Amino acid sequence: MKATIDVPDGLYRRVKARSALEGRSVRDVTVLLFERWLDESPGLAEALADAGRPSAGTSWLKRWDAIGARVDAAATDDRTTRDILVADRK
Amino acid sequence: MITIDASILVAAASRTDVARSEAVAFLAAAVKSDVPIHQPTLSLVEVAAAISRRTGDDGLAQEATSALLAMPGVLVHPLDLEASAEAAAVAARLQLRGADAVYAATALAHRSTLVTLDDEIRSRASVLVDVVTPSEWLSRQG
Repeated sequence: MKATIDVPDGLYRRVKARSALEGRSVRDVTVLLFERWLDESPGLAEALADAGRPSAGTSWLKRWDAIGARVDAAATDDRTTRDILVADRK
Repeated sequence: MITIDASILVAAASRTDVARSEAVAFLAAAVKSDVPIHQPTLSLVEVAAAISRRTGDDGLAQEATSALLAMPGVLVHPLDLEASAEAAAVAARLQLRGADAVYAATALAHRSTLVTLDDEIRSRASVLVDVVTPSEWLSRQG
């Protein structure tokens, strides 16, 4: 079945970019999310009661910090990542 | 509304960067607020390139890209023909480096404050857009 839905521009761009990064089509991602949502629907109340949990901002910061720690650990260049970025701009 | 220079994003993720504390404090305040974050797609490329060049790990660079796309409040704007023309005009007018012009043009187009650790973009772009350091932005939030 074909369905037409209106998605905010910014959201669609992010979905498309991440789908490309993971080598998936937007259609495949959409179907996957629909299936997961249907499977998890008994947990909707739990999701709605999310207020007491760490905010999206806090979770994102932890994720970013963890990536940074792995970057530092895997570094083969003595310069900081910012030094490399700034040098690339010159 | 803000636009975040990639220099801040990578500074916040590196324990050896002298600006890490300032960058982390700023990012924490920014992502926990409701302020929209207008980013050029170039910021994704710059962060991925710098991480990959530092580590040689393409998977880690791609993880960082995915994380940036998931940043709360982020709106990523493509560098299409129109945006490129605007960035070119900004580069020509302010004699900015190419990447700096893309950030300044993004901030100009979306009326956002450009937050950066880079003194050159700060001094040159401030005639056209609101440009501040992370500490200055934090001070404004009270």
